[in-house]
Amino acid sequence: MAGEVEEEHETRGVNTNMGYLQRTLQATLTIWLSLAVVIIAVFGLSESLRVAGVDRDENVLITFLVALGLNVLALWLLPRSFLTLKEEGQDGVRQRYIQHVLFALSVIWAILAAIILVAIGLYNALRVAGVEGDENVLITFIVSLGLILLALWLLPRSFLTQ
Amino acid sequence: MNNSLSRRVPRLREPGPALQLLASVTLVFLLAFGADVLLQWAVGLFVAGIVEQDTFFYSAVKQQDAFAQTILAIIKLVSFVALGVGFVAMLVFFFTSFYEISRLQQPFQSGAKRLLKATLLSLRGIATVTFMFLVVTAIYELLLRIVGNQPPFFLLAALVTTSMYVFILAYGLFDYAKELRGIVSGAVAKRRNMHHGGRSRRGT
Repeated sequence: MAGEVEEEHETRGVNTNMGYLQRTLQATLTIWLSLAVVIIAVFGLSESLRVAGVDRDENVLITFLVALGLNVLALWLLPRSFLTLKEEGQDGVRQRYIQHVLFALSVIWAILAAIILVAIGLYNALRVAGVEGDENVLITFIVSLGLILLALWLLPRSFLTQ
Repeated sequence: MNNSLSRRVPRLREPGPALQLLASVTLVFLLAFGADVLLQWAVGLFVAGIVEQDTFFYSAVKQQDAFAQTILAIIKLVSFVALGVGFVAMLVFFFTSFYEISRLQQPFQSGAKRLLKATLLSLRGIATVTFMFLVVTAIYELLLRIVGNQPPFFLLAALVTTSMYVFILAYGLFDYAKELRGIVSGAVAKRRNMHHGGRSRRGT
């Protein structure tokens, strides 16, 4: 009897460890993905400011402040249990939302990448066929518009309205 | 005495349904317009970055850049006009229904909560989608810096990204309009039911 209880305690301990490990991994991945998104967004801002002719120091300052704001927003949106690594019951909705956003971002990016690749293929095929310059860009753009509409029609509606 | 006092004290009332509708529609369209301006600005600067890298390319590439900028300007114009027309059309549509609701403050109280929720969800959706597209544009800016310009690739990326964003924004606004229509028609139907119920009770 005592042996059984001990065994049960051991199993529960292993399960808790597994749960904790899984949660830690999930939290690490989600925080890392959120940080990557923030860094990429901030890079885009810095690049845009550079092209717009903003001074280097001002550029760094503005970019840093925006990054700070985005970090705070990301931390606010992340479930509390991701930050404390304690189990909390109320985190479900937030966790689902941020995971949904990250998933939608990757899916939309993948779809855009696929459409751009198809458009580039078409552009090259038209160029080989003898269509040059602006006309080629225009045809490719119109075809990609059709592809975008098709993709939007196929995408789940929740991806479009978030 | 009491009556005279109560007459003098101004009563705080909830804004009427028309004001609530106007405020929420205006808020959503303002955010949509601001988000559109922001993304178009980011994509415009992305294309300017492409042009910067094309300085040493032959003239046909530069001509293509100028052409892509023209297409982007057209997309920008069309999206702004569509937003303006959508806003006016939505106001006209909902304010024709408003005459029915304006007489019924009470039944709209339950609709006000739904209206607030729908508006907040739409605002959150527009902000999130815009952020996602800013990130996607930034990914291409990063790639542009890493691999250098491959003549039509980044131009097409800019055009495709902008047009997809405009379509998604339009869909988001349509979805919001659909939800509003549901809320307004629900309020009107409720009022009609109450009205008919009251008549039949009086008849009996």
